[in-house]
Amino acid sequence: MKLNEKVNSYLANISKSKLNAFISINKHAENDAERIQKKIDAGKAGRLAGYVFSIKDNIAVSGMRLTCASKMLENYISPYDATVVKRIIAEDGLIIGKVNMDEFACGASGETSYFGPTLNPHDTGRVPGGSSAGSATSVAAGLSDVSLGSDTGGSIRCPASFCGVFGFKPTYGTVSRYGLVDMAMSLDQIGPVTKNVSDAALILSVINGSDKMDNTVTGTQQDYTKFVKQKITGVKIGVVEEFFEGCEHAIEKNVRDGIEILKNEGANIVKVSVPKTAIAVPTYYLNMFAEFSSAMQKFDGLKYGFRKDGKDINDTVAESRSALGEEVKRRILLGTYITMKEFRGKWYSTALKARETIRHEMIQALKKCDLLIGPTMPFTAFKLGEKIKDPVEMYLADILTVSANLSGLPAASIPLNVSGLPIGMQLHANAGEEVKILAAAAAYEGASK
Amino acid sequence: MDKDTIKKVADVARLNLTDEEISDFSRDFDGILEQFSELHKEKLEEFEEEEKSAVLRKDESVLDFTVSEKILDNAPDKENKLYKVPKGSK
Repeated sequence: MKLNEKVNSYLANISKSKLNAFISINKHAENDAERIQKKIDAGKAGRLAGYVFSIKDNIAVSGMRLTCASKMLENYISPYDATVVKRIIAEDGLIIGKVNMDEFACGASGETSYFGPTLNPHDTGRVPGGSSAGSATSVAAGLSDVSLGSDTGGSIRCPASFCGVFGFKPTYGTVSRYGLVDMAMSLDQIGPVTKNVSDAALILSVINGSDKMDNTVTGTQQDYTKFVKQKITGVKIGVVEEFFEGCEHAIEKNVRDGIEILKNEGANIVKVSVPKTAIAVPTYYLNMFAEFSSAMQKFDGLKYGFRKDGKDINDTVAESRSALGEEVKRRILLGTYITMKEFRGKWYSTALKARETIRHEMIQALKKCDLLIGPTMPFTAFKLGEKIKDPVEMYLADILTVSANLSGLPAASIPLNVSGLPIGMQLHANAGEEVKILAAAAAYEGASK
Repeated sequence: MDKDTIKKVADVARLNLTDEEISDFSRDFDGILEQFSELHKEKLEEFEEEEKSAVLRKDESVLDFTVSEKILDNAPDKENKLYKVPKGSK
C-alpha cells in the first residue's frame, strides 16, 4: 500500500473511532504522505519512511497544539519541535496526530484528561492504562503504526501492558527530553510504543544520542536494530519474587509461563530479591510530587495558557491555575507541602534517601544477573471509574514500574501471548544495556508466536 | 491534614481552592500520607558519594533562540514584544 493510502485509511479510522485516543490531527498528514512517498519511490527515503506515528500530547510538534490533555494548555501551539520529533521527521517518519493522556501525565489509567478518558480497545468498559493512554490505544487499535510516549513512573509500560503492545523506557539520559513538558525532570524519559520489538529498536536507534539541548544525554547515537536477532543462550535472567507479591493469579501464571519460554530459548533463570519494592510507591510519589509541584509553577496564566483575571497579579495566577484538574492540584499541593521548610525533613529528605536505597538494591540485584524479570502490572486493565475516586489505590498500581525510574534503569513491557485481557511481562537491565532487553524481548516474541 | 494547613499550602502553591476542594483534599491527604508513612518504618542506609545517582552535565553554552515571536503568539495578553500582565499587589 502506498503511504498516502495508508494515511487516508488511518485518518478515516481515527474519525470513526470511539476510543478517544487522539486530541489533535496533523492537518498536513496527507501532504506529508505524498512528499515521503515520492522519496520512497525515488529510493531516497529515510529509515522511518512508511511509519505512521502518533505522539503523546506532552511532546512538542511545531505548529500543532501541545495540550498535555489540560484546559490550561487547550490552545497552546508548539513554537518548535522536540528533539525526538525533529529526528523522526528527518528520517521520514510521518506524524498523524497528537494523542490523549492523563492530564500533565498525572494518572495510571488514562482517565484524568480534560478531553475525557481514553478507552481500552480490548474492552471499552475498561481503562487503557496511563499516562500514555492514547499512545498504547492508538497502536493497539490500529490507528497508528507506532507511537512515542513518556515514562516518569511507568507511563509507557502500564498502558503497553493493559493494551497488549510493546513499550520501552530507556535508561535516563539516553533520549533527549528537549520539547517534552516535564513532569519530574530527574525521572522522565521518552520512549517507543510499538506492536513489535524490532520497530521499537529502530525508533530508539533514531531518537537516542547526545543533544546540545539536553545535557543529561551523554552518549553518542547507538544502533540497536542489529541486536534484536541476538541469541539469548546463557543470558542470566533474575526472577524477582517480590514483583509477584499481590499480583492477580492470571498475571503470575502467565508471566511464569513467559519466563519458561525464555528458559527454553537458552536463558539461565535464577532467583533474586529486591525487598525494598515494598516502599517503591511512597518513595516514587514523594520524589515526583516535589519535582512536579516545582515544574508546574510555570503555568501561571501570564506567559501562555489559560488566563482568568483576578484582583491583582498574584490573584490572576491563582485564578488561572483553577484550569488545572483535581489530580494535578492534589499533586501540586502535596509536593508543596512535603518540601516546605517545616515538613521537608520528615518527607522529602526521607524520600531522597529511600530513592538511593532502592537504586542500590536494583543495581545489586543486577550484579547477579543480566536482566530482572516480573510482571509489568499487578493486575489487568481495570474498569473505568473503578479507582479514580481513590488516589491511594491508583498510586499503588505503579508498584512494579516505578523502581526503574527511581534507579534510572531501562525497562520494557512485553505483551504476553494470552487470550482475554492483555498481560505485560517486564524486563529491567543495567543502565545503558537496552540491547539485552531488546534481545530477550525479541526471543520471547519469536518463540511465543 | 487540617483545613488551615491546606489553605496555607494552597497559598504557597498559588492555587485558589473552593471550600469543597479544601475538605476533599483534607480527607485525601490524611489517607495518602498515612500510607506513605511506611517509609518512616524502614531502615534507610547512607551511601558513599560515588554510589549516588548523578546527573552528568557537560559544559553548557548559549545558543541563539530563533522562535521568540512564535512564543509570544501563545501569550494571553501582549503589547509590542512584551507580555502584558495585571498590576502587582499593593
